[in-house]
Amino acid sequence: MMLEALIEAFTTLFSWPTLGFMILGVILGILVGATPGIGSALGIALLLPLTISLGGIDALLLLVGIYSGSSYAGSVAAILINTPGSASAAAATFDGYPMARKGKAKDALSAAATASALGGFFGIIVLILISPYILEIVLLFGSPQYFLLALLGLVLISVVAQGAVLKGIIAGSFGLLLTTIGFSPMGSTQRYTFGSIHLLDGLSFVAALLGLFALAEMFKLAVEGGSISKSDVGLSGSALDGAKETVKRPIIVLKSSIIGILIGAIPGAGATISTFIAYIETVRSSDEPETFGRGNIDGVVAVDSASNATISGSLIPTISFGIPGSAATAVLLGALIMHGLDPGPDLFGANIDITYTLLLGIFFGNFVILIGGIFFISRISYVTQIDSNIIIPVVIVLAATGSFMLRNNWVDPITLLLVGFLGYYMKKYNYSIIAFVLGIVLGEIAEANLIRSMHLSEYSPVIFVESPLSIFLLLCTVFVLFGPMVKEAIQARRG
Amino acid sequence: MKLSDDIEEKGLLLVFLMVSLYFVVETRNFPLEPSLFPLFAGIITIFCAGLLLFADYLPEPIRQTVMASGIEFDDSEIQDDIADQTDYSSETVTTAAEAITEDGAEGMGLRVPVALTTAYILLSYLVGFFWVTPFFVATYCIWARLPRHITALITGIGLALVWILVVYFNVPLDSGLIDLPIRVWRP
Repeated sequence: MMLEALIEAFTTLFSWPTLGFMILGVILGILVGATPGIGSALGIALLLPLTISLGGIDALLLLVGIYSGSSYAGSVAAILINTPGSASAAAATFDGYPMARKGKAKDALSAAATASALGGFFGIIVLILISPYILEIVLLFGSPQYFLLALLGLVLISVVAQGAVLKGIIAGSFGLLLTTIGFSPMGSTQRYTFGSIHLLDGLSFVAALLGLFALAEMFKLAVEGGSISKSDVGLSGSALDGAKETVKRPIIVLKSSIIGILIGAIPGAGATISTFIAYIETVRSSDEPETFGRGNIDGVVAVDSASNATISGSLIPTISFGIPGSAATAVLLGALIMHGLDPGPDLFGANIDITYTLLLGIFFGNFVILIGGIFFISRISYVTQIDSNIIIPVVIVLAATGSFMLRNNWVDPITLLLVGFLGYYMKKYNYSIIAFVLGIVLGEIAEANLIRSMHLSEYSPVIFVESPLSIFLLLCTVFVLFGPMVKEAIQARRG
Repeated sequence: MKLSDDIEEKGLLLVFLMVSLYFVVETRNFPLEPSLFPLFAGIITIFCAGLLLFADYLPEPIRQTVMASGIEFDDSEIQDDIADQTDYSSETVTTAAEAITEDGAEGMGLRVPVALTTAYILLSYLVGFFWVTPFFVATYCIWARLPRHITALITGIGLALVWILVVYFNVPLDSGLIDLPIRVWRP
């Protein structure tokens, strides 16, 4: 079955125009990722409304292409102007920028592209190999377990986020609450509509995503000021040498990729953490740790291998359980649902060919990264220096019109504005945006599973402690939620 | 934390609290089944927001527990670690990590972008996005003191984007509540 699905996925991917959308996605991702202040989550969110007219698989390949391309391109600005395109590329500045200052900018850029592609190849191969085992785990879950898992996911994301745990929980539960506007999922009760027909279908999660990732981000950029740094390094060096040097470091690539996959699979963790940890591990295991920070290519290789491999890791909880590993996968999860694909057993059973098409899309997208990174990236390096004031009005126009175009409902641009404003302050005061997104995207599914469980048990909450898996999930939730609080209390008592 | 920041954060918590309270109270008008989930999510939000809002009035041990952080993947610790092992100073590492915000132009405040965006959406509701977009983009660019030729270029790009959505995606962005007697040119 796995082989048949892979062949079908291969055939789908290499049909026209599907392949074109994948390549376009990676190229757009590279442009978006190389522009400081615009990350993969914003890129995917902006394109999301436009994909509604495309077929499901074409749209999803376009979006995962953006995700994949931007994960590499964040390093371009980091290397050339010491300003990472995204937070996850911050570690690329440590050795990438010193390399560029030494006249090896092209070496660093191509090393980043090669490492990124190799990390991506490795991550996808691992994900395809373990996919049959993921199905076995996913099939153990019924409605009560899915509801408990959604809670565990929210709690886990709240706890992993910086700042007080309670802020993460507030963000997640408030997101859940907003999804209750409109018709109830398994009935015809109108809730919180104020009698308006425009609210009957509830708030659009796409408008909310655009509010959080486009509008809130642009408000933040306007307040803080974006990058208009001018490059003080020339584009010298040899791209082919950078690629060759990377290939000579298989252990660093392998180790960093494994770190990327493992950390990516933790909901809420993401590439920012995996790249830092991969960098530290490379420094720790090096014979010449003192050369790091002065332009050691090992540092660039470690960071970019981990960054791209994190994509595979973060896709595991996203497509199997609907619990995203990062902000970008949270938006991707919204895209899956918007195109009629609910995360869960179907994506590893009846629709496994779609999952494999996406994975193969990311796999072959890495060739675009490789070729683009070695031969063309120096020609588009000017995008790293675009003034944020040029980006802000264009992104706001795209977000506002994009929010309206899905349903032609004026509630959606208003949702965009309110959620954008709320999102700005949530970011400012360290509320977990991923938890909020997860609540908004998963609210309807979580409620449907809660109601279904209640039906099955004739309204007895005992159903949530009946199976060993449910008990395990509940215990995990309690442990994750109260563990840090208990630890803090014990430490405070010890003084 | 500055006093204004403290007030802002308390205000944010109040928003969460008031909205959740409304959602919970309103469940009285629903049958049992549709009221379960909003009750569940609302009560959690009210409880957590209430705890944070009144944290200063709680006994110290409880306050510390309420303010407890999660599993810290704190960058600063990692950055110190990198600084210890490499040639980079901790300060340099931190600066690099925060470079997106620190290496760029001076910030220009929140009020004007929010006011412009609000006006953009409200005016678009009245007459349609297509007609308001060039004014919004041009006003933003002028406020941001961009050169005239850049302002003209960005305004043109904004208008072209909306025009493509109207013509090729058939989105009615050229009409609003007030029906203007003109429509977008379609090839």
